[in-house]
Amino acid sequence: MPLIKINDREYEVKPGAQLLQTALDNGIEVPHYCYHPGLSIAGNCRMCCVEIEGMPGLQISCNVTIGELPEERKIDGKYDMVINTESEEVKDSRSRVLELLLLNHPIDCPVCDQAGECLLQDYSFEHGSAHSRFTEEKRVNPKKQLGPEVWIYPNRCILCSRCVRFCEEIVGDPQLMVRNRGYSSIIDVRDNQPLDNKLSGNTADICPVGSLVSNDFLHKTRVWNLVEEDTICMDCSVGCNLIVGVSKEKIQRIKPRLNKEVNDYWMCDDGRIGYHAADELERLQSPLIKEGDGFRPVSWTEVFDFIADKTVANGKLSPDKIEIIGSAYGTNEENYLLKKIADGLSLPEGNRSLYPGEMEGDAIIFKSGFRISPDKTPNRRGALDMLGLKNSGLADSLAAKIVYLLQGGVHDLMTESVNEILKKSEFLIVQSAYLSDEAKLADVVLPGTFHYEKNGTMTNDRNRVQRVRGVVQTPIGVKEDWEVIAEFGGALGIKNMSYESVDDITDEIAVRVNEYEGITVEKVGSLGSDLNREKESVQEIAP
Amino acid sequence: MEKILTKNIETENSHRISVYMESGGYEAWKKVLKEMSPEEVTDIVKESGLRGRGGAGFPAGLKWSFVPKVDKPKYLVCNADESEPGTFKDRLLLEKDPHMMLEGIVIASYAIKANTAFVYIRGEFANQTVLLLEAIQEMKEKGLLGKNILSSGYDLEILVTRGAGAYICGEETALLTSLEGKRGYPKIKPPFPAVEGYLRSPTIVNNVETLCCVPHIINNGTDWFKSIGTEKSSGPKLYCVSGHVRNPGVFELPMGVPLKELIFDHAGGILHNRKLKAVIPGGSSTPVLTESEIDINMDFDSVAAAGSMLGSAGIIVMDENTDMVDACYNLSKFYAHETCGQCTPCREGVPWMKTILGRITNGKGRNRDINLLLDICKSIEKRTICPFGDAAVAPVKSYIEKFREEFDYYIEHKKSMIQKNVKSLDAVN
Ligand SMILES: Cc1cc2nc3c(=O)[nH]c(=O)nc-3n(C[C@H](O)[C@H](O)[C@H](O)COP(=O)(O)O)c2cc1C
Ligand code: SF4
Ligand code: SF4
Ligand code: SF4
Ligand code: FES
Repeated sequence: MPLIKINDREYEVKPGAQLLQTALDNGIEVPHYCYHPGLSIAGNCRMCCVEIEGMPGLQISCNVTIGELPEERKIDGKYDMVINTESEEVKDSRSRVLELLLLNHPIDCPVCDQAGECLLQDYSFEHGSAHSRFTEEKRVNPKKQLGPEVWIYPNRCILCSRCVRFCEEIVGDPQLMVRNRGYSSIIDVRDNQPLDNKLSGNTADICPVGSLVSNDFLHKTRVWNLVEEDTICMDCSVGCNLIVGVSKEKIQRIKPRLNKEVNDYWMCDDGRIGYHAADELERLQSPLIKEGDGFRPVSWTEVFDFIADKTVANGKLSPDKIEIIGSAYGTNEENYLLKKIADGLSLPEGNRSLYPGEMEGDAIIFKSGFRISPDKTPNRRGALDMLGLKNSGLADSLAAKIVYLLQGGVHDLMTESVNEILKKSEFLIVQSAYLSDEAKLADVVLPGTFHYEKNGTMTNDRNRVQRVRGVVQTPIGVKEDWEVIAEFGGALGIKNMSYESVDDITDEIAVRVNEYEGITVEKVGSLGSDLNREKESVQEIAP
Repeated sequence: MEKILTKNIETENSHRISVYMESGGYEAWKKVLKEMSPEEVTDIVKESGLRGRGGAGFPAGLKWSFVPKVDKPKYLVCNADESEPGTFKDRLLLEKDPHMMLEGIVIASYAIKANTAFVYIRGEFANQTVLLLEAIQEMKEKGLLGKNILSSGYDLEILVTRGAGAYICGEETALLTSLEGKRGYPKIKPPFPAVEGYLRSPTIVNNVETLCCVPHIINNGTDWFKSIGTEKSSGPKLYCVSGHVRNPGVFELPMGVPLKELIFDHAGGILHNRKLKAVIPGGSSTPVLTESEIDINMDFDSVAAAGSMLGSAGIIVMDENTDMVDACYNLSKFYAHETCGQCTPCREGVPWMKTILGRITNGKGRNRDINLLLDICKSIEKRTICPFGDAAVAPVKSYIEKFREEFDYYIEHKKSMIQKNVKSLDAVN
């Protein structure tokens, strides 16, 4: 293992390690712009220069690989590389590069969405000089919308080429290019075609300055007003890891969070703006009981008494007349509790199912391997596992049955045939955050949570269990889906249905469900944990 | 000196293969195919001391020996993008003796075991491209190129690619990116082209004139080659002399010829008998020399010792009437126009220098401008992806250092210090 010294501290590194990343990984700040760990090395910004003993001048640390030196050539008898990231020479170089980057920069931070998380702002504060020696006219180009998700403010561009490399290397569709040459270089779309690939929003994330900005987030709020929470995406079975920025109790923006096992540094645009799916939906505030053509709002006590009365009271319960339908939009915990109810009521095997049915189609796979699944539910895998099912979809007939359906999502799923099936049920309970088409058919509606309010875990289509965190609060008076299910179970007389928190259910799953053994809250952590399952055997089932 | 590289140029139809072969052309190629291994060819070229004529003077044989023994195709690229201001030697070879270059290409390709060679030719060389394509066709007809050449089992194709007008595409890594069909951006090193060049395969880039020397080395041996020129810069050299001289042109002389001899004997001295003021010795990218600094020999090491570079041996002579501020501005316009714009210091710094120089020649200079210019040079130098940055700095820095009083005068008086020497304008040429 090579031994290196950076600014008087020793580090052991893997042979072939990349110098800049090694420094960053060890908490040594080396300012840089064009380097991005998910992209090829461009070496164009010249900001990451460091001094390396035995090499002339300064070196760009992003293009240095650390190897092992033969014994007799080791520096001071033991080092394979000796690096100084803070010498006068290095500092001088940084401020020179910064001066040049800022020559034509408008420094319009007060109106720039990047302000607060801008590498130009940060570094010039630390390494730059206060006044500009540039008194010539600045280069000016108008802002423009490049595609549905992205705007460019070219005057702020530092031509680091991250966005261009992203389109070439990750998307595999070079929609962005440098137009013109030299001083007139400008980032632009190719052939006047919009930047409309499904990953386009990532370009705004990786732009180190406020040149590419998100259309969805444009001038919405200042980034320092955001509270950021980790969770995963609710818009397909891949389960990209996310950082969600919230302010005023609303989601303001969604960005990908690095997870090499799942989504790398990226996410798709559908997921990025997927939170808007709930924007127009009218929230249910209290349980509803059907009355004539409409519904009557009732209290939680009343609704559960009503349900108990219809189902188990007076010994009317007949297990084969009850159907419990879980949701591929629901968490593992929600579906697990439903299975617990089904078992508690001794329902026959066939009286559990999963809604909605399989979603057909081809995955979209990009050059880097990034994948968007045709299955737009986030937790089909986990829901099937929890419910002990092999396949999704409603039973052909629910006639004369008491049916509980967890709607769980925020998307309209109703089809002609689902409508037919549900209509035939004798007594329909639907749990949904809004008056969905399914809920409209119900005798009883239990209000639940929207997608980004859920807490618990989900299992993606590659068998990785991941943590879901409610990034926004459920409104006052509304319970979380798992709480509603737990109380529903209690009303039906099922034992052990009370939990302090959703984490207790996760940990119970880690004991009770075969392949989830040991997958506790702690084990899942922030990056998830793979199931103890051979990948292939499940791949067939996974859509 | 006996002419070597230019021996055929006065002959009628010198670009035809028949003329070339009558004067012993392709004998070296035949000898190589029959008698020599690729390693032997590389060794001879190494031994000859041949240094690259494209500007950097890197030993050719040594470069060839860097090609790794990997299971990838290898490529040879002839750099015929000649665009350095003051340089027009490759053009002469391309026009008058394309077969000499082609013979160099095939031998070099053989030495590095390439089965494909490229000629990357300057886009403006339209007629030369036609001649080149004809010459390649002639070679094929004679069986000197193609599959199983002269029954040796060796295959080689030569492909011609035209540049699209960017000076930077003469820089070898930019040339390779352009050759790959991409925007002509230089690449960061490492990797070096000899290891990872065209399509990430080992690639050797050599200048036209460098390759033209190769057949002569094979024919006449290394001792002969080393007997021409100096110890560390062997062989013949084409010098391009332009500017305020009576007889501008390309002159073939040994490496290390005295600069004064070139200017005053071969190029006929200064126009109108004016006084010589300054000389750019190796193309516009090399630091300028003052009248008192030109007592040097034109080989790589001597010019370097004088603080400049032999570069492409594009010698630009300036007489006493030259306004050095304006000349500096003129060159800075060229570099500001030609920067590829990839890396920060060059993209931003070089045009900034141009703007300041433009302001000075417009009578709007400020006292602090000169130090600012020198400091911008510092911000660019050695901090760029490719040597273009240093090339753009060289004129500005050296002009200011050596002709500072002209810059100061311009700023103070808002006009040039140079009073044109009208009297000598009337002198007989
Ligand atoms: C800005 C720039 C422009 C260049 N232009 C040319 C050119 O037009 N022709 C050329 O042969 N070499 C040119 N070079 C040098 C090449 O990069 C390279 O060193 C050369 O082609 C190698 O050939 P040689 O070893 O035979 O000299 C240029 C270099 C730079 C930095
Ligand atoms: S738009 Fe942003 S990411 Fe793209 S080159 Fe400019 S600064 Fe870099
Ligand atoms: S790929 Fe799927 S999980 Fe990832 S962001 Fe898109 S919709 Fe969400
Ligand atoms: S030094 Fe200039 S020409 Fe070379 S890569 Fe950088 S910007 Fe381009
Ligand atoms: S980060 Fe290394 S040159 Fe830009």
